[in-house]
Amino acid sequence: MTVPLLEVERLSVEFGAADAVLPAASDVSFAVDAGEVLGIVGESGSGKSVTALAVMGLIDAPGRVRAERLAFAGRDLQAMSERERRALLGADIAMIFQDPMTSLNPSFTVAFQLMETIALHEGGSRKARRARALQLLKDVEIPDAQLRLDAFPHQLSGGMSQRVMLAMAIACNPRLLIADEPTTALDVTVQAQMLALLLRLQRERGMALVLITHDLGVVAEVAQRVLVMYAGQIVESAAAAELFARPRHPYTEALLASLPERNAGRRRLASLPGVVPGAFDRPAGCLLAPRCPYVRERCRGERPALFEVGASRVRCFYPLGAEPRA
Amino acid sequence: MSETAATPLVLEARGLTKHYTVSTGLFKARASVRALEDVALALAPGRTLAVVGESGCGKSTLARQIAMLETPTAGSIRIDGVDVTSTDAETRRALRKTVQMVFQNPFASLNPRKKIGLALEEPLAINTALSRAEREERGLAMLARVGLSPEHYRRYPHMFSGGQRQRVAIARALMLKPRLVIADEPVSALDVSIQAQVLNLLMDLQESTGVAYVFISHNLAVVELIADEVVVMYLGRVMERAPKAELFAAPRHPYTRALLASTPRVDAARGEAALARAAKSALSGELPSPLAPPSGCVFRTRCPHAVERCAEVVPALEPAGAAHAAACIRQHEIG
Repeated sequence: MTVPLLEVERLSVEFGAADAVLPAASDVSFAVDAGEVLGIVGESGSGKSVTALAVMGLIDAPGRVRAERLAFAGRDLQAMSERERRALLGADIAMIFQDPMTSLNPSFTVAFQLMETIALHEGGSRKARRARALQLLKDVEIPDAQLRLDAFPHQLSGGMSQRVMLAMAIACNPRLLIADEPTTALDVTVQAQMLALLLRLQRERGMALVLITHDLGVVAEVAQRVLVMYAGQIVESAAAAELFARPRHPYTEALLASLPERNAGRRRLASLPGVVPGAFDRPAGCLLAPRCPYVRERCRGERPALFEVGASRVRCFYPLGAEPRA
Repeated sequence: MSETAATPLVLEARGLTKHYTVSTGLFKARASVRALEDVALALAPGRTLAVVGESGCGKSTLARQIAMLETPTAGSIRIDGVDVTSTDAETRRALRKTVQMVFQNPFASLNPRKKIGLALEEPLAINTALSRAEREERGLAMLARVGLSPEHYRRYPHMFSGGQRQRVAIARALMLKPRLVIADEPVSALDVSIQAQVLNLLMDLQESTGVAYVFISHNLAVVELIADEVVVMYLGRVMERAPKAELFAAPRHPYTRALLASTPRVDAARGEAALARAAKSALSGELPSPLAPPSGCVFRTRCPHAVERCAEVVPALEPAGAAHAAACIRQHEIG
């Protein structure tokens, strides 16, 4: 069996003082294979962004990251020196963020920022770097790339800025690209262009793509495998087609049921009552228990682990359409 | 649209135009942004009109004109039959009570230093002669109607979640029993499960109070659920207008089709197939600058069906059905 590109085992991220710990992510385990498109969905506060930031080593003190294993292509990220890790991040693992307008430095031109990235990881003469920057802009389908090289970020639209961010991210031919809500700030027609571009680059370069989003539609169209997160935990992990056809976790089912497109012809949307538990009102048992329509006595007292259900994994004692867990 | 209808319209706009003058640089001539151009709308009481479009299409400018926050450059707006653009200040002041707004960002639209109760009572204090006790009674009743409990009355906005704040904003908008509420992207900032709760609330309140909504959104899935009629806008102009079912089943305008094809859906064909479908009616490029909109049809620079003629004439809204109209000169050719 080949080694997965990214391995994350029992990752936890905590914020806050020792006596008032806020678990932003807990017991998060997953792997990403080379060339795979993995979607991570969840609502605000579900821990999806924090998980990605932890993998990238971008959680600063006082945040605390712990993991039993955090490895890229078999190399342990936690055992690495800071230097080695920095060489890896940005080159082999790249990330793009939700808000392209604030991710670019407003004081420097597109060419300067692209060439800086290239200089850092690859070097080369000024002329060669500029030529490479131009090629990258063409790769991300920026029209009039030559003209855009010397543009400042404020002269670019949101979609254009996100393309520049993407050009920067793929500058070093990463093997894994983590995209955190890459299309959320974009208009829907531009979003469609961006998603098509991401998938084309992923396919052409054989790059693995982790797409973090709150939009189930985006995940359905793009991802091969999906992780659903709730209150800092993975609650379901399944192949995309399986997840959307046969959700096993009550939360996944409720998310899908609350989509307007699944309520055609009905006057009311199915909706999950209540809100996601905060830092200080986390239930003792299953984190969904207070909102779950199928809740039973056991769910209130005991926290379920991720159980195998067929080819999926589900964090529920009573997975839908399957035998209850002993 | 329904000028012959028996019920009087709560909102009717004709030829609505709004230009903003902007500075383009220290020594450059001022330019004019054509935010709205010749927009016509009609809305009957208790119904929902959705205005759909991407950023820069003029939907929020439209909201500001209807809410009487700005004066349009040209055209008329009638609220309950009264033309607000030509009436006196006194009448306009009275009419303002009948039109209320709910904004997109519930974190910015509530004053952080005012308790929720005070926010709810303020419209009554300004517009009515009710006593303090009566105001509180109405505030508490409204709080219950939007699904919050009496103990929330004396709390500050920061103690609420986004969904709860949006409930407060809706309650505040309804305090004066308006005939029309303009909701500008009211659920865009909310998570899906919370979005469903707030949409249900909006629909329930419409049923019980008979309020009409102008529902501004970029999310077609939400619009398909809540709207009775839909207006699709692009760069300040109406591209298409139709009853909801017709718009989603048989869109006429290439822009509407592109919007529908670009919207990611859970139950659509996945992956390559979905992207191929989107690519078929996909739009190249991005929104042109509203400072220099294209000649003729404003959509032609991104339209997959554009021909030379499109640059020459501004297409009028032409009927494509009983209450269905599209502004495209090729709508019958492209089928």
